[in-house]
Amino acid sequence: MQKIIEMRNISKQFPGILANDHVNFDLRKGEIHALLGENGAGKSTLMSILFGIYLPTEGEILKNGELINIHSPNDANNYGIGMVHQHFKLVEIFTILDNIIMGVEPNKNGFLERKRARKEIEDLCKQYDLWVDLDAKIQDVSVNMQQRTEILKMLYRHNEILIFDEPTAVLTPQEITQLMATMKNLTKEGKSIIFITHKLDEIMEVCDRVTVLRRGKVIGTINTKDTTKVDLSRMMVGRDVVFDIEKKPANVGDVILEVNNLTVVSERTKKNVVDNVSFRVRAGEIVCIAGVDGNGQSELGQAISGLIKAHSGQIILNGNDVTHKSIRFRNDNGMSHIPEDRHKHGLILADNVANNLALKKYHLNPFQKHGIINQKPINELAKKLIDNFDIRSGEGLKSRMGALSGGNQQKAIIAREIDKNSPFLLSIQTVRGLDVGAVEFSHRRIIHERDEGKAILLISFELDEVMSVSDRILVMYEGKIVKNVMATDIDVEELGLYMAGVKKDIVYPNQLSKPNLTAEIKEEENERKQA
Amino acid sequence: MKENKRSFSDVFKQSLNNFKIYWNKTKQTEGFQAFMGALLAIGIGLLAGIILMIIINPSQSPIGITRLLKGMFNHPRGAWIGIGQMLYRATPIIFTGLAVAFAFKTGLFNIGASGQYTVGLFAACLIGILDDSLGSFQWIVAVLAGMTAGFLWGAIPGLFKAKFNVHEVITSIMFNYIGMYLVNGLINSSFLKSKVLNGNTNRTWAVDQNARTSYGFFNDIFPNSGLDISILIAIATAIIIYFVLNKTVFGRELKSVGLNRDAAKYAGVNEKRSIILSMAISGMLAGLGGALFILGPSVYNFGNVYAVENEILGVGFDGIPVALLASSNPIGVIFSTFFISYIRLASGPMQSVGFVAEIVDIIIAIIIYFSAFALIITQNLGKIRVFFHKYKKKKPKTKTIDDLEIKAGEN
Repeated sequence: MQKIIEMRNISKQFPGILANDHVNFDLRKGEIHALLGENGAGKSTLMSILFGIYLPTEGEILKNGELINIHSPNDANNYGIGMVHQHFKLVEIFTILDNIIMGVEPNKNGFLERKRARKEIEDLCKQYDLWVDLDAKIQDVSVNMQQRTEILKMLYRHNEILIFDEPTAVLTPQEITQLMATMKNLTKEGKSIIFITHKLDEIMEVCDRVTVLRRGKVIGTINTKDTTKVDLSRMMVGRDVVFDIEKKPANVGDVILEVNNLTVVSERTKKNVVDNVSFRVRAGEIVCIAGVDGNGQSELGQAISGLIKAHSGQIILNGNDVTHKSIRFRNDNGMSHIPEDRHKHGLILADNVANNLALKKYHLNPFQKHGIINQKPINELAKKLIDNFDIRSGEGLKSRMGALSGGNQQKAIIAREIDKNSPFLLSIQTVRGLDVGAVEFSHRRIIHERDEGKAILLISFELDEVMSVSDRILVMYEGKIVKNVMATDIDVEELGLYMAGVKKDIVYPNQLSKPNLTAEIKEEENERKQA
Repeated sequence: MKENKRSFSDVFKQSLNNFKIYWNKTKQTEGFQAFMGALLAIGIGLLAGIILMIIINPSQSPIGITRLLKGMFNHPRGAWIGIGQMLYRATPIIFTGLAVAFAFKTGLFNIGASGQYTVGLFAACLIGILDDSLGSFQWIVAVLAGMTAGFLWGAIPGLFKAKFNVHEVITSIMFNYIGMYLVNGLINSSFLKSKVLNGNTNRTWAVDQNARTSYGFFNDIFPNSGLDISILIAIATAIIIYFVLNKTVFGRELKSVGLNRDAAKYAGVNEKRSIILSMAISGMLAGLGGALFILGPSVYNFGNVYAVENEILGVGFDGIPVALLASSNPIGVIFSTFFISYIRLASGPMQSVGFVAEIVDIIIAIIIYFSAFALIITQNLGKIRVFFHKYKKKKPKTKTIDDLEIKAGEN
């Protein structure tokens, strides 16, 4: 088959690290080609080179056998290369139509021709079976539709090479299936796709070939039909990875966290983002709050940790009513917290590793005496955690936190919070941006903590994580808890229905929910069946 | 004899080697790079000033440049008194410089040091003139009053920042005007005017003898240069501030709020309280500077006075360049202030040979401009060196790791 893009001997040197080491990569016309690798393996660097964000130190790029020079994303666009970034590049207050034509506006003597654009985009939507509401503003539509907008943006620019950077991280299982179908559609119409992902199932499902990168080098390119998940993960990590972590049955103890009728009102929209939520977390169990991003889970986590104020309701931690207590009080009285946004909340990037590892402890003995900081125990603690949690950095505990890779930064936070040895651990998006090896490691640590008798509340947008780690699952939809179920009693498909708001149960904090569909929802169900 | 000599040279080589290792290590430290950056900026600033002087008045420029470089040593009563004068002029600027530097370190830009200095000065002045019943306590009460006034004047912009997210630059710059007009208004008010203001000069009276700062031993060392023990208080304050910022839990909390407000909040720091306290302490330092200025005995024990003019005191703004030049290091502030007041003392003598005094301000401005820039240069000295190396030898390109690194940096 014809090679539409070929990257030969690409090397990229950053100060102190060779991100790509003589990488050879080729994309055939009409295929879906997966790019797989650990955190920091060089996938993003390679794609950034193809998309013109970085210039390679060495090597050449060929399109249809001809040498091309890509110096900027505009060049890439001219050569028909488009990219859906992990974080969408959309203007929130513009309509979908305006977002799609942004930068290539069709015009007559400088006057916009929206009508012509609308016609062209509607044709594209029909051709590829992608539906969007062209007049809706980005801030009002779902993540799923935002993604379709990104895809349409590429199609509108007549790109033939489409790069998808971890597109499934933000979607529900049903939406993922839909995206997979769209991707297959696109290849049928002659587009070629590069698909970056950590998720092996997705690769096995849609991809024709896989290129595995490890530490900047290509380990191999293989046809998906000749390989297995286990082989792929071994190629990626360099050792065997256990997917289903062995878990002893939970040994549940006393209630550690009790949340009663908690309501959080959004500052911006004045809506109840968390709406009258009640639940319990007991010692020795992992409770996972599942749901699609943006259904109030983040706010629930922040209210429990004290980062935002609860509007009404009660939070009882370890016997103390902490609803109106300071964050420090919660930290010192039994709460560990792995925050959702590691750069915003979790770390002081400009400070060194040692101080970050002691971020929640330096005000306690023996790290201080009479208000004067004692650096020695801080450094000793840092050394211990760096060894135990394999936090890799250039200069050890003296490295600047911002110089560490994302995965290692996350490990540092996990190390700090687990080392606090609190009876309650709140963990939000624990493994975001971690590769399979690191994910396995983090999950093992969390399950180990559970076995030690800690109460763990996990907030996750990733179903794999929800299914593999949790003992009990709470599903959150539009600020309410719509399902409370033991992890063993539900499968991914059903969970997806609850996450999408199709099914709702009545939930009592003290017992597992029983299906109790309201009339309205039953009607919807019937309609669905008839359709 | 020969053996002895050899062993000596060995020892010399050895120590040279040790020094090289030590040198290479210090070269990498942030403090050293900041210091080199400051020196580089000073060099560029002086050079620019000299070129400017040559362009403006070529015939007078040799003597003008000499006077510029001589700085405080131009003093008519001799270089020694010049040093005393320099220290005397530096003292209030050290305090405002510390105020600005402390705020910088905690992530805030206190541009209101001038207002805080003025209210501190006024509070100390009132105690120093009116409360003679305090006897020997009058001085310390006046100092404390000045600190308190500065503390409160700094706390208000902090409060606005913490509670309502109003940027501290806006509030503190407005509080410069509010402070200045409030003080001038109070001095001119019916119940204070008669006691505080000297109607002939439109200046305040000097404070009571009891309230004046002691000359200490400085009057023996630098006779009648105006220098008193407040310079020692300034240096001690700088050391205390350095200690608080770097060694205490309190300082670390303030600094962490400055580095990442959200993360500090997450870690359990009461970030609103920290912001208010940072601004308040910053204001307190400026207020202390104002108090010690007005309580100063000045030359021949005349006592310092405050001129009631509708103009913001420049000493508060001088705090900004000294803090920037010192990269907000409290100890560095002492030395950067010495330099600024050294060069300031050249402006008078330069004027007498036909140059405007503002040339010194231009030089200081250029120094500040380049001190940020120079830090970038010193941090990348290695790369620049390699670049020149390549340029000189015009070697054919070899793909060494160093080369690749530079390229990566360029991209």
